[in-house]
Amino acid sequence: MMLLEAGYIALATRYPSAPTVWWSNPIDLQSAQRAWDGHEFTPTTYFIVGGVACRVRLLPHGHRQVVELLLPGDNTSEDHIDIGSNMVIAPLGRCEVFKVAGVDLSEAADHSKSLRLQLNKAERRRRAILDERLFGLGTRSARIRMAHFYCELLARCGEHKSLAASCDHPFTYPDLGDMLGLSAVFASRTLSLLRSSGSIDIVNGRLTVHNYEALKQFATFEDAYLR
Amino acid sequence: MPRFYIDTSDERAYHRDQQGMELPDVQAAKEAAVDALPDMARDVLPDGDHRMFLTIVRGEDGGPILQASLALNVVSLIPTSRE
Repeated sequence: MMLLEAGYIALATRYPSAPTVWWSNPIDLQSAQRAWDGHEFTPTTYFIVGGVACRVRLLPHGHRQVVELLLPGDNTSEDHIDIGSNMVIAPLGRCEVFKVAGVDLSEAADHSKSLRLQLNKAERRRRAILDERLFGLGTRSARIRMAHFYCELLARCGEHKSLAASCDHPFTYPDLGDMLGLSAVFASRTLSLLRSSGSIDIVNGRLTVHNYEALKQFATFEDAYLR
Repeated sequence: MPRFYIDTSDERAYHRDQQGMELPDVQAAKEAAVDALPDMARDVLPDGDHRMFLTIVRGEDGGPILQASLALNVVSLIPTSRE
């Protein structure tokens, strides 16, 4: 379990009674803000333990926009949202979350250097992923962008160490479109072209890459920003 | 919600949508079909001066409901050396 690796083990040791919780409904981050009186707001941090989730902005008329993909080992905080933005953490399927109040997290970090380092590393990685996504929007074609996304997904899941690699793929076309800056229909077309090229396969919600090195080369993917 | 299938073509590659998307109504399917066209055009540029991009919306029974298209035409406004 990635959450319990390195610094995060300090959290689990310090708060053995804080259980992980399986979520299948969106967690409303906005409600925490509504309760904020300006003085006593202590943002809760959510650590993803299992499954896949997204940070999603809710829009009028039932529309939504995925702004960040959250995988096991990632965390997101109520601090990450702006006042007035209608943001939720939306599990894609069932998702296991470890929830830590801001005060508790600060206290645990004060007592654990490894936890502090791990949290700083997670934050740097989060920013690097967002930077890479912005860079890709401006410079990569849709097919390369999608190939890059799948390389990154496998690397973040730790499934990139063999030639053939696979991981869960719970994404709909609108989800993919949001994360790649494409319309849902064009995301479907791009995925179809990648599949017909033999680079990837998706069966029963599972992504399989037959030759990860070849896909990396096509995607111009270098994983240094994830370290 | 009804399921709509949206096929796409850029004259060189035709993609028949096998999975479809759940959308509230035909108007939403029309918007999704139109929304895809600029993405398709942007993705093939610069690759020729004339290209037609098409999206075709099909209903749950597979029958076509509407078609949207976007034409790309580049015309030089200065004489070329051969003229």
